[in-house]
Order: sequence, then C-alpha cells, then structure tokens
Amino acid sequence: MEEVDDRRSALLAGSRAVWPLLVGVFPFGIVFGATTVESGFSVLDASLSSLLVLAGAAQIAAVDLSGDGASLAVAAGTALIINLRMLLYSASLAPWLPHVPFGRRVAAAYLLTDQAYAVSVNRYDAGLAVGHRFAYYLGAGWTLWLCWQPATVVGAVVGDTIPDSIPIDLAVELVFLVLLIPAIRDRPNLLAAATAGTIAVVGAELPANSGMFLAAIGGIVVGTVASLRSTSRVDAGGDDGADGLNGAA
Amino acid sequence: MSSSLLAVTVVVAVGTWGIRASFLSVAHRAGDLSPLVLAVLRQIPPAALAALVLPGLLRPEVSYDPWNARLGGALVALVLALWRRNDLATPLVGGLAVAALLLQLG
Repeated sequence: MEEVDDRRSALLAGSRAVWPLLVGVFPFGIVFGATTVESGFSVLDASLSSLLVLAGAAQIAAVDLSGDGASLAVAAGTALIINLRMLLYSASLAPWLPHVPFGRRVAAAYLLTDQAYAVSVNRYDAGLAVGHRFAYYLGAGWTLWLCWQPATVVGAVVGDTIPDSIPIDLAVELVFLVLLIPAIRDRPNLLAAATAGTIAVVGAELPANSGMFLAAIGGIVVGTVASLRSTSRVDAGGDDGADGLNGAA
Repeated sequence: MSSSLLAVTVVVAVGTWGIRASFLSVAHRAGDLSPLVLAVLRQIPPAALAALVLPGLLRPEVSYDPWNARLGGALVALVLALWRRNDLATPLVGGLAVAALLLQLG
C-alpha cells in the first residue's frame, strides 16, 4: 500500500488508485459520446452533460430516452433512479469525513462516482489518517473527471465514424451490467435484484417507463424485508450476516 | 443545444448533486443511521440497476450468439467479475470488456 505522509501525497495516492479503472472509464466515455451524437444531439450536448452530471450510466439513459422523444419527467426520472445508488455511497463515505467543513463536503459531493467511492472506502478501511482522507478522495475524483471529459468529446467527435458492425448497444448494456454485478453482495441484494428485474421485464410495456419505477421500489421493499429478517436471525445467534455499511456497497 | 435535452441535463445534474450530497452534508451525524435506513440504502443499487438492465438484456430483438467472439469475451469478463468479487477488479475487468467490444478484440 502506498505511503501517505502529507496532503499532497494523499492526493497523488488517490489519483493513482483510480488509474487502473480508467481503462474502463475512457471507453465508457466514448460510448456515451457516440450514443449522444447517434441520438441526434451535438458534441456540446455530450460535453455539457459530462460536465454537469458526471455519471455515465445516467447520462446515457437520459440522452437515449431524450433521443427517442421521451418526456422530461421520464428521461430525468430514469436517470435519477440510476443515480439513487449514490445515496448509499454518500452514506457510506460520510462517517469517514466528519472533520471536513460543510461547504467543502457539499461541493466535493460533485465528484462522487462509483470509482472515486470504491477506491476511497477501500483505502479508508485499510487505514488512512483522518487528515489525509479528503485529499485522497479529491485525488481519485478529479482524476476520474479529467479522464471522463475528453473521453466524452472523443466519443462524440468520432461517433459517426464508428462502423455499424461494432455493437454500441451491447457496450451500453455491458456498462450497466458491470455496475449491477458488484452491487449484489448478499442474499437480500440478490432477492432485491431478482424482484426488480422480474417486475421490470413483466412491466416493460407499461407507459412512461413506469415499469422500471415500480420494479425499483418492489426490489427495494423485498430486499429490505429479507435483510431485516436475516439481521434479526443474526441477533438471535445465526451466522447469515449483514455486515456494516462500509462493507455493503 | 436542443432545449429539451438541456432541460433534462440540468434536472439530472441538480438531482444527482442532491443525491450525492445527501448524507455527506450531515456527515457529522451519519455514523448513527437507523438499521431500517441502512437496510433500505443497501437494497437501492441492486434493485435500481436490475430494473434498468434486465429488460434491455432480455428484449426480443437482441439475438445472442455465445460463439460470437466479442460477446463471448464480454461474457467471460462478466463471469470473471462475478467470481473475483472485488470492488476494484469488477470495474477494471468490465471496462476491459467494453474496450474489447469497441476494439473488436474480444
């Protein structure tokens, strides 16, 4: 594990922890940029979305639905459901950063991505002095940001020239799957995913994407009930365990 | 910029920032969330993402040929990601799978 003894080295350590993940982030950015122009929007549209939203899966869904003529409520609502997972990241990161001033915490929330979250919590768990934690997170977050912005532009510029034989659609599905798989960490999670997936498939034809909204809610309810049940069994001496919040994302 | 997409982008940006800042904004008190809140939070990622992914994967107009080299590569990467259950391995392997798809090296 990298030695961290001042703020600057913490920033650099956070940055370096994200580097290997950029192998996936850059192509994902290209997919987003290409999807944007293929949906009939411009390079500027793609770039603005990346600057303002900084959350690839939600950006793709928003652009895809808008290109198909979906209403603002459906396009934005779907994207926000995708980003709801960041509630968990926010809750999981917060206990590590209580010393950071309020304004800086709220501003830095902008940089909270799957990758910045994953490397930060991993490192905090392994041990990192309180004074270096925030810098580590910022190093990870800004590094991801610096990769995402140009990737988006490249994708939007070359999007038209990507041959039809390359299945951009499939790449998009893969991106979502890559998020889903690590999110399933225990049996309640699996039940939540199975319930939500089933409702979403059955309800796929419901108007205004409402099948997806119902599916997410149904999955959360079933998973929560299963999780509370297994927790009470643990309290009674069982071993099928719910671990702490930080192990949960 | 099309005004409709701009509106969607702005709403998603503001909403996403709110989601990201939610618990971070009360970090000094976030240590003592109730078990029910924790239980709900932990089900959000699998439920929301499965609701998004499965209809797309199972839609009838997509045909899957497991012998297709690119798709095969992607599936291998996904199985590896599942098997090597690690926060960091999964985005790395998944990203490689996406890269392979794009480059047709799969």
